[in-house]
Amino acid sequence: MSDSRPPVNLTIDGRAVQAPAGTNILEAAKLVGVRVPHFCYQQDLSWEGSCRMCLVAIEGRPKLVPSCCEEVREGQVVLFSRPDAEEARRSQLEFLLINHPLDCPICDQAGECKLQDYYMEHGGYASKMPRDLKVHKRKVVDLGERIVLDKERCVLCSRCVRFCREVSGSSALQFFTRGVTTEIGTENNQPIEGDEYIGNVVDICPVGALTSKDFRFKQRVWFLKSSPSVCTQCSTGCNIRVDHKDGVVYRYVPRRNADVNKSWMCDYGRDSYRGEQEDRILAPLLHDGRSLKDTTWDAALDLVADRTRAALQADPASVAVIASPRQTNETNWLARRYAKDVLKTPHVDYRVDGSHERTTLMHDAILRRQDPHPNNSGCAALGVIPGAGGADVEGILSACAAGRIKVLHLLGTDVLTARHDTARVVDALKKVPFVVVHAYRDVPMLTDLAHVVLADANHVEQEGTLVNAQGRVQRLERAFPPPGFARPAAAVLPELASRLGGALPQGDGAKLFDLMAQAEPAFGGLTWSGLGPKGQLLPHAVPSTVGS
Amino acid sequence: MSDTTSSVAYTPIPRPKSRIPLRPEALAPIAPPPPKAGTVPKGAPGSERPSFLLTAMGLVVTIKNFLRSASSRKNDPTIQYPEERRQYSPRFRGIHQLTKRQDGTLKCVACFMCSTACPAECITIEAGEHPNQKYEKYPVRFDIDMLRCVMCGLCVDACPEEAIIMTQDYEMSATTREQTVYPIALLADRAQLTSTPAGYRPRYEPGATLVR
Repeated sequence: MSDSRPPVNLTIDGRAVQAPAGTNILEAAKLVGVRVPHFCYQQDLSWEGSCRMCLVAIEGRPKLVPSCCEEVREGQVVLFSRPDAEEARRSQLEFLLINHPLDCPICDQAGECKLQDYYMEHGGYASKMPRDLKVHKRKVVDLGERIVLDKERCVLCSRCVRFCREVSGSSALQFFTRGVTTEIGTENNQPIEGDEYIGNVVDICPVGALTSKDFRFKQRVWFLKSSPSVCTQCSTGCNIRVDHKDGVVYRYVPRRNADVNKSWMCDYGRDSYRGEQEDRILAPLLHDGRSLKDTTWDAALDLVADRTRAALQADPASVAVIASPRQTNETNWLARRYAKDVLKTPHVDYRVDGSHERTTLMHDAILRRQDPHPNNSGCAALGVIPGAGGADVEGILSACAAGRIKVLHLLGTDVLTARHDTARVVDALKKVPFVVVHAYRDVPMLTDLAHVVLADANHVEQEGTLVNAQGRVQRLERAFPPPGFARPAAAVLPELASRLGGALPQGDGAKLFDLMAQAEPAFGGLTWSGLGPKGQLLPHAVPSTVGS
Repeated sequence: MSDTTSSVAYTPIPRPKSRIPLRPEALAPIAPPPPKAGTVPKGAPGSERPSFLLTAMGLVVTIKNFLRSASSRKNDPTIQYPEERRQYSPRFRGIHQLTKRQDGTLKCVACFMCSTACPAECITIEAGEHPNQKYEKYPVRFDIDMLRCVMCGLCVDACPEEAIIMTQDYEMSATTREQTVYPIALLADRAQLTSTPAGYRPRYEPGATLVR
């Protein structure tokens, strides 16, 4: 992404920096590895300069300058490590610590607390403040179903106030009273309602004043490992960081991507970590006449291959594959090749519920989009659409109801969960003699309708890519292997294909993406390593399949 | 994977004959053949040969100590356990104890310092919300797996609340594996379970009262 602003040259601590005009000195210092401490500055909020932690000395200026509010100028000589600047920052930290409660053992922010980090950097371990003179404020203020406020811990950086005013528009948090009793809160400590982005204030609060009720006391953050990933609850594809331990995800935290979600994510996506791990299917399931029972992969895939082969021999158009806009690009690519090259059936489609027509439409004014599936754009780019004489999803469901489909292969449970006419879908599927589903969660009606359930991995447990509504290809990294015997569909389809006499490429997500990018012109020129943590735009606009 | 209990004898891997001749040193065996059982190799020093006199000379210290211990009770270092017990130093590190505040609640606030500091990773804690806002956090679950514990006392050093100390208790025999994981019930009321005094406690000021 090129920056059209003219570059400015300056020196920070003797190191030469070139930054676009309009950048503040704090950001310019980051470019040369000088980490200026700051509380009130946040990259995606307005500049405030109230915390006074980022003070630096600039040659020729009589006083120290807050580097977060000062734009870079040509030829500036910035001295971050000058003794008076260091002393000023240390004193400012001491001021903030004077009334800060000794809450580290009970505070959730321990381990990711800016006050702790700067305290360790700056020293000052012998406090000159008698403990009984500290100002006390209300602790454990319940601000609704997401946030717990501790007024004593607040360092008055105003990040939450500015967020609620500038980003979410709710102005839910304000300053009250003055002087040493200044505190953050809501009017009359009322719970915060109606703000669907309030979870972000927990991330931006540098101390433990605003903490997440959902995450409260669950785990100490230094025990958690982090993996980068992408939220899969809508087509915006906010970049997230998955914090997990021992195969359990504890929270999603947004990852900054200036082009997609800045530093934010919506509460709906934030909550989704729980649903992704519940009611997991741990092994492939086989219907033995009465109910679904656990089985081995070999038994399940052998049965699927046998029944599919039998149906194809009788009538090639009696086998249908429904791909999924919730699966990765690699899985959908293999599904399209499985249907068209291995099974040679024209019935393959991804448009399960009409959401592909709403992919780019916004649900609210900030981030969330109307399309609840993360990869409609990827499926469109891959052309997972019916072949000549083939039926789309609506046609496939009609054919199922008419009894013309003998084997139905579903790459996800979306036809059962994402549609409004679930009753019609259930009736149609009941008439299909053999239904194979890749599912990672038990959903209603699945056990009544599926004859074979292939235990799938969710997006946190597999490596792959998704394309968001802007046409940006973003990587999913694998945090941990799927539970039990579950395997991602991209690993299962090649085994199924080989049983049917075909061949599909095998490998991890990175290898499959590179192969796919070479084979598909829509992804031409992209590589897994080239995508990087922030993703890349598709080289051409995503073809619209509305009405085709 | 090859079957390790195979009855087929091991046959050396056939290697093609090389056209490069081996050096004469390579043809000689690397080590001399082991000596026959009950003999010493040729050229061994005289002290390696079995000798009753040398054996007796080696046992002199042992026999001296044995005779001293057997001479009288006073010289015998053995104590008659369990009737007699050893006295240990006041900083002896025995079984852990969770201490209490004056009002009877556990001092522990589930900060996980002990769990993090433990080199054996034997402390498992789950935190919960305390109904009293002044205390705010308390351990819902606090298990120490005594079979993993190495009694190092790093948990006591790490605790910021003086909530965990070690007693001078060391008797922890059990008949099942489940009995060796000590939950809060076994750790918190240790003063009632034993009569030994408190052991490893770093902040022992004279006159300080420790509610056990």
